[in-house]
Amino acid sequence: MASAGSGDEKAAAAAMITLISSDNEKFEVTEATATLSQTIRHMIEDGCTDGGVPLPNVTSKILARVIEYCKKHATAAAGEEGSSSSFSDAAFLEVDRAFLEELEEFDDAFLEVDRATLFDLILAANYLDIKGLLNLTCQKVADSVKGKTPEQIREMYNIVNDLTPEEEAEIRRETQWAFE
Amino acid sequence: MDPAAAAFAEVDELVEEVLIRFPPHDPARLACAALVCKRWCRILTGAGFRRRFRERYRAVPPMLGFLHRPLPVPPYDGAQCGFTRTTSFRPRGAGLFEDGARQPLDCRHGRVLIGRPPKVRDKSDCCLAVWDPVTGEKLELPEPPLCREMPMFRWNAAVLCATSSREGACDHLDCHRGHFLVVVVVTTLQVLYAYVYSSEDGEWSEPTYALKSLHDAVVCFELSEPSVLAGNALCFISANMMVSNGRIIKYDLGASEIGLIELPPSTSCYRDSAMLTTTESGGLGCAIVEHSKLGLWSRVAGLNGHSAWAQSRVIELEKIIPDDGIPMSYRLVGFAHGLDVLFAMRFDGLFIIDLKSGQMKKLCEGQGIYTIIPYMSFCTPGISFPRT
Repeated sequence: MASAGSGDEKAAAAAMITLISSDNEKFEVTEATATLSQTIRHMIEDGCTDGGVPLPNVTSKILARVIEYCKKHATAAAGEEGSSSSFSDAAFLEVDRAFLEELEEFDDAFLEVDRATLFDLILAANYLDIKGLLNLTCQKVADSVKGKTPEQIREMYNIVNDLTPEEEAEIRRETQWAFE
Repeated sequence: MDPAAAAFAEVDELVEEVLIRFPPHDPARLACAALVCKRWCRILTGAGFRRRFRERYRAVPPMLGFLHRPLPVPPYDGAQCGFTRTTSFRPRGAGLFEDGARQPLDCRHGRVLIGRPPKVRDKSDCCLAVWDPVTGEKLELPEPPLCREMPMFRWNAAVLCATSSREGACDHLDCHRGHFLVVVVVTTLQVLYAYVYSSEDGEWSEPTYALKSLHDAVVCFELSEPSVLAGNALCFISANMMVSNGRIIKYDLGASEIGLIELPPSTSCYRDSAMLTTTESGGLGCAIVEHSKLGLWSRVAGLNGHSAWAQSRVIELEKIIPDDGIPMSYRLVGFAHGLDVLFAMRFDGLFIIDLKSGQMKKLCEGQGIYTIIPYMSFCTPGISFPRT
């Protein structure tokens, strides 16, 4: 019984999922990596992943980046569980800190993308429901408008100003101090 | 146009995901974003965003600046009081301090209470008003019916959200346009009084009072120190410079009761100054500087139901000051509830002491500041628009 049980666990740990991008490219990932996406987690729970998971909203270029993110963060999640349950001494805390720093460096490097890719990643993170990735990418956009005028923000993100002069005047009246 | 950016800009939820990550201590960034386009403006000024933005920062509004008052002694007593910015936020209508007639007395839940500074033997009107630095609105209050002829008459006052009498009834994240209370506490030779003004009723309540014991007869406000709200009790300190008859005047908003609490016991004869604080659990605390040692006390429930003071920490200021290790004299001038920071004046400037991290840094140069009243509030665009 015991050996059969551990065999099952092994099988579960090694379970692979096939993700299919909009341009029909196939990606083999572990279940631990795939389930960082709540959308895919629900599909696995409902047992509808046989023959691969088609992701018609995500191109292979973006899916490759998303998988890169999930692989790194799935390892991080597994590492956290391991250390909190069994060890708490200083040496392991030190290892944790080093690992978190490495993860931060990974995230910083991961965000070194052009604007179009950044928005593609936001859309993919939203569609696949990956909280960490959505937080990371949206924070990047939020940080990028620091110290920018409304005109500069519109230029950065190709937004057309459709506010009427009256609406604009109303906002400016309340927040005149912000533009002095 | 970039298709991904266009797709992003079409989804309200995604635009909000970005806007909600703007830092609350940079309200100018939110104001600029509201002028980008209709969609961004609609999201930013909506009630749903306003609530979610505030909830994201866990009930501690950012400090957008502070109000300050000068030392009431020459040569500083003529100095102007006003609003000092610590972020991109600028208050509307801050010119109200220019004529020098009124000073900021208290600030809580996004509102500032202003009035004539109470002075010894000064029987003139209080001239209280409540000012909203975000909208610039100022509401003049009717004169409280005070008993000015009583011997040793002195007063102090506080402002707070109208639901504060019921603990937990409001999270105070978005209530500064709602109803408020102003509490005036009075000390006289033998009696303590409290008067409450409710903006809902538009009038002052009948006074609540308590007789003082013979032992406490000489307790009175020396100057008006800003109050703290601990649980649903407003607490005022009678004297900042530590003296043996220093007391805390406590007004319980739930029970409408007024009474006195002793200050923490003296551990040295060199007390410099004391400042009321709140503890992490929201209870009453007190910070006392002796020499250059900062002692932190909290009011805890004792065995027989009586509360008592317990010292929780001592911070040696000369050890945490970054530039030197020379013991110097510090005077506590303010406390920011929720942020857990104390403000202290030294001969060469104003310092901020972070009680959580135990670190201290210089905020600005200058002298002659007597009181710091932190202005802590969220400032998202559209607050003065009609409610949707």
